[in-house]
Amino acid sequence: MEKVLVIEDNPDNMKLITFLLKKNGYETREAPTGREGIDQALRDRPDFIILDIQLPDMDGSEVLKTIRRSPINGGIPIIAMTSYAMSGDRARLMAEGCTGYIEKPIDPAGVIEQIRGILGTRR
Amino acid sequence: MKILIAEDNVDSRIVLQKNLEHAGHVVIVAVNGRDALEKAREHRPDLIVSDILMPEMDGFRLCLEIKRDERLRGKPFVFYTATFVDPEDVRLALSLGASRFILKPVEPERFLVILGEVIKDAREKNLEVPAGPVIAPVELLENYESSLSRKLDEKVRQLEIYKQIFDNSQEALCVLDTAGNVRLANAAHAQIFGFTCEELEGEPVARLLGEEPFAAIRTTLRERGTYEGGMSGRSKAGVPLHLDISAFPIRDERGETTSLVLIFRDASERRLAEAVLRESEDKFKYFFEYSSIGKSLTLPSGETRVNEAFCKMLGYSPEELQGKTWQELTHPDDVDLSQREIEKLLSGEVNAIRFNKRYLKKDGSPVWVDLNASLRRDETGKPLYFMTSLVDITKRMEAEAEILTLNAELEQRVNERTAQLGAANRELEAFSYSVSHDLRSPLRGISAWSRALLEECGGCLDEQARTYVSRVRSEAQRMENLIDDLLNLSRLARTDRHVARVDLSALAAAIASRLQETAAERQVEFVIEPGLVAAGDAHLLEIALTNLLDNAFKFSGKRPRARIVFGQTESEGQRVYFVRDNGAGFDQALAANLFGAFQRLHKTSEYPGTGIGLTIVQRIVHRHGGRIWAEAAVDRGATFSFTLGERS
Repeated sequence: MEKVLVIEDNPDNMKLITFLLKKNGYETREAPTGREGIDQALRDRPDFIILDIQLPDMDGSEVLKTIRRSPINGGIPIIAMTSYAMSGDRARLMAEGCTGYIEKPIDPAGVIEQIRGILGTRR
Repeated sequence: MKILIAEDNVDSRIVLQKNLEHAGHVVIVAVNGRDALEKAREHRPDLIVSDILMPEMDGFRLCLEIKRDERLRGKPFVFYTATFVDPEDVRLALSLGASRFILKPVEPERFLVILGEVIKDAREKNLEVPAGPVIAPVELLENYESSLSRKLDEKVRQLEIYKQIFDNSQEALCVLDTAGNVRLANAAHAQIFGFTCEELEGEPVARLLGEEPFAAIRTTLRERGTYEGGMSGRSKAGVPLHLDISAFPIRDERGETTSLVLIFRDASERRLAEAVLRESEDKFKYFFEYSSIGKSLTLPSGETRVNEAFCKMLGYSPEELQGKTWQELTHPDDVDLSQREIEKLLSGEVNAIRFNKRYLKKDGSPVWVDLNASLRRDETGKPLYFMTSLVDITKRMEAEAEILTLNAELEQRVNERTAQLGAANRELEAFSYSVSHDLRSPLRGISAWSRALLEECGGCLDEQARTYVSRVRSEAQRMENLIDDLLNLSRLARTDRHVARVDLSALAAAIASRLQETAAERQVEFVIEPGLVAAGDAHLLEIALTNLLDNAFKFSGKRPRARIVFGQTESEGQRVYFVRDNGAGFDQALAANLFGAFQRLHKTSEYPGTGIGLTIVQRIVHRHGGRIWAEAAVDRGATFSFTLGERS
């Protein structure tokens, strides 16, 4: 079973995305802050990470860069969650090493397909 | 000493007489040789001084007669002459017994000095006089005759010269007898008056000048000896003449007037020229002095004349402006500019200059003027004077400056307002994104969880509960659609417009076929006018057309045979596109409300929709500089017309 780390501060959003992931056969780990997300990523070595870019303690791209510089190296897929209003940031996020992005708020009917698409493209 | 003077010229005679009398001599004067001989016999003078050429009896004859007279032979006889220098004359004079032969100098003083020496010699008996009677030999007489004829020739030649001068003078000359009849008139004279010389001879000159004017000339001549003046006359043809006249009398040796000489100059042309000059001076005065435009006339020396308007403009009196240079009167910042312009004129680069500059008034305040200047030159190109005209444009310049300031302020305000609007717009956009995202996020939750409820726990729910959950889901979906429309509406403001040729007919056809696919069971006739091409943003126009055709399709849903038309007409010079259906229509009185967001004229249950579509269409039309309106009646269809700011 693939292990996924979700870094998201909003508990409702966290519940919804983890529900959808679990329902589709993923094992989930949850981190409500950027700091905890980095710690878990280094400790648990998940198969991929879903990262909310708007976090209360640090900028999502800082989290992204920190993980990419860490010993778990650049191989791990990181999927950013961005709102349409932040669309200008997407190119920057891709340049900073994120694997793909999904739009926030997530579409329950299509989000799993999107995630599989991003992971599949990479593989 | 008693001295006899024989001299026919009255002036010379009087000069000699007065000077010798002044030196203390007794002077006897004679006007010719015969007169002199009689007076010599009567008065027995100590010295005889004689001219050679004289009427009645000349000097040589007088000398011969004196020396033949026993009682007078011993008196010294002295010749003088101014007109002839011939050694033969001198020899003749001496052989006739004359004591001296004096060549008369032009200057009377020198003649008097020479004469004084002769008188001294006479007193001291140093003058030789013949002891016996003088014999007049044939040879000498012949000499005498030839000498005379030579002198006559000389006189004739002189007269000829005078006659030539008289005849050819450009001045009209006329000699009158004492009665005022013309004795001689020259060609110029004839020309002025239009008479021939012959016609004039013997005529009274009063016929030419009038009795009274001629009488005035005579009076002046009697009183002053000469006349100078202007007079009008009349030519033979009756043309009035303006004449400058000089007149003087000719007197005989006794001082009696024998004739009058009149010199005429035709002043008509000069008078005309003077009149023209006066006229142009008057004009000049009119244009210069009395002009309401400031004017100045400046000589190359810097001497300047200005008119009253100029003085007023600068607040000086004419006296105060005297001696002020233009540099002193010019605003310091404009001196260089003015100098450059003047040099353009002086160099001949341009004939006239015009520029705006500032002068300084007496009170130091600046005056803006519109300056026109030209440089007059003489025929050789030498500068004569500058003529300058100045119009006070201070008010205009102030008004312009004020307008510039106002414009700048206005622009500033517009910029500020635009910036404020831009900021407000961006805030509004951010707000509407944020609202639609934040609204959508829980909505997605509701949707997902209610679906989870049905799928995971469906078995625990009864039929009614499942219906309720389905309701929850469909309501969530409706809200989702609403949010999508809102999002689209706010995106419109953000999207840049890319104007290109857009084939509206093709767009409409594509939309129509999509619509038909969604409801294959319906009988809908689409009538699309071919070849409608507009200038606009293809993406935005597609959204607008989609909304309009969607509406037409939707609201004609209850017609068994729906008919939807897309076409174009013209109104007030503009292209008007329209979408017409034969559907439900609406109350025309409510048409104004159609385009507001969330305004609906029909129940959602009857015709589903969010109430945003027409608001989007209106916004797109406005972004193209056009307008949109609707005409409809209940149950009789609706027509939506719009323009895109194109002239037809």
